[in-house]
Amino acid sequence: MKRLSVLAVILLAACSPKPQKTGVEVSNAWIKAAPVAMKTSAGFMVLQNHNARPEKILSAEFSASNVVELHEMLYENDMMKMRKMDAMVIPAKGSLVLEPGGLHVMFIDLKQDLKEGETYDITLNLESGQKLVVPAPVKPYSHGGMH
Amino acid sequence: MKRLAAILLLGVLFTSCSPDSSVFNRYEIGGDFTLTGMEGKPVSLSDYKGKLVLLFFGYTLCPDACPFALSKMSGAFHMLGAKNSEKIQVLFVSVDTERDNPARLKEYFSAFNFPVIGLTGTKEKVDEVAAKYQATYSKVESDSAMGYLIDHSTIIYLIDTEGNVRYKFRHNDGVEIMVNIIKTLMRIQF
Repeated sequence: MKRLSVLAVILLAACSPKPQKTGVEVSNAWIKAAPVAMKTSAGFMVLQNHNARPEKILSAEFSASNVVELHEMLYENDMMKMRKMDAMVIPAKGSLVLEPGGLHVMFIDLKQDLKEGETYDITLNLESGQKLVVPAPVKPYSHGGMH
Repeated sequence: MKRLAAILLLGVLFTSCSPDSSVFNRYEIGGDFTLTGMEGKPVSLSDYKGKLVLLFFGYTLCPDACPFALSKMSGAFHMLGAKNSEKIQVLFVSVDTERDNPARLKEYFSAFNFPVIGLTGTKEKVDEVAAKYQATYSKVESDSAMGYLIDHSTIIYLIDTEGNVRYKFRHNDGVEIMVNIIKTLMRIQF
């Protein structure tokens, strides 16, 4: 009897509609490998906002550098331009991609080598008050066309 | 068997994609220059006569474009192999004349495992070289902790054994393209 009720609960759970995802989900987070001599590095990831209203990243924290900023790269007429951003917006029910050559979390004044195989947390401070802790592995740049 | 067929197909594709010498233009830019190397001594482009040179303009605090270009060059050296790599020299001209000095360039490039020399000089000297190659850069004031940022062109210039610019690699050119074009120039020149 007990077994049957357990089975019923399992079946019921399996049949009930999936709860709607909420909040901000992060995938494919990684950090560019860099020796301390390079002084800077960057973090990349894909953010998915499941909420019906836009979310903003106001700032970020990273233990292995003295400064963390939100930056954007723009590539125009063979020129690479970088700008510091006050915030990054993740659209409602949409996504935001942080990738080389585009948006990134910029780590300035590294305290230590960031070596391939290590993992560091990047903490994102969202406008909603949420602190999103993102574990990110350290990887080398994949060379253009080699991935 | 399937694998062998795939390899053969890849081989055929690769061969058919290899550029011939017609990819090389005669550019009316460039020319010899002398700047200061990482040991504090003068380094000229003409010191590398007889080698191919990959020339790039950037700065050591550059977070993205320069590490990306350098990692592509590193990938290209890896694919070209040790014997071919001996025939190439990378010259990196810093456009950050205030923050990059020979010691800083030496520290920065100690992290790279291919032949690269960081070059610096007075702003006037660097401007002169940039103008010769039509490379552009501009300092942008910012409230970033980095102080100021520098917008700069991201072309990698392929220079032949006589010091002439023969190809301009763009930011989006992958490692395979670089390797194919370098190998083609090597076939012509060596």
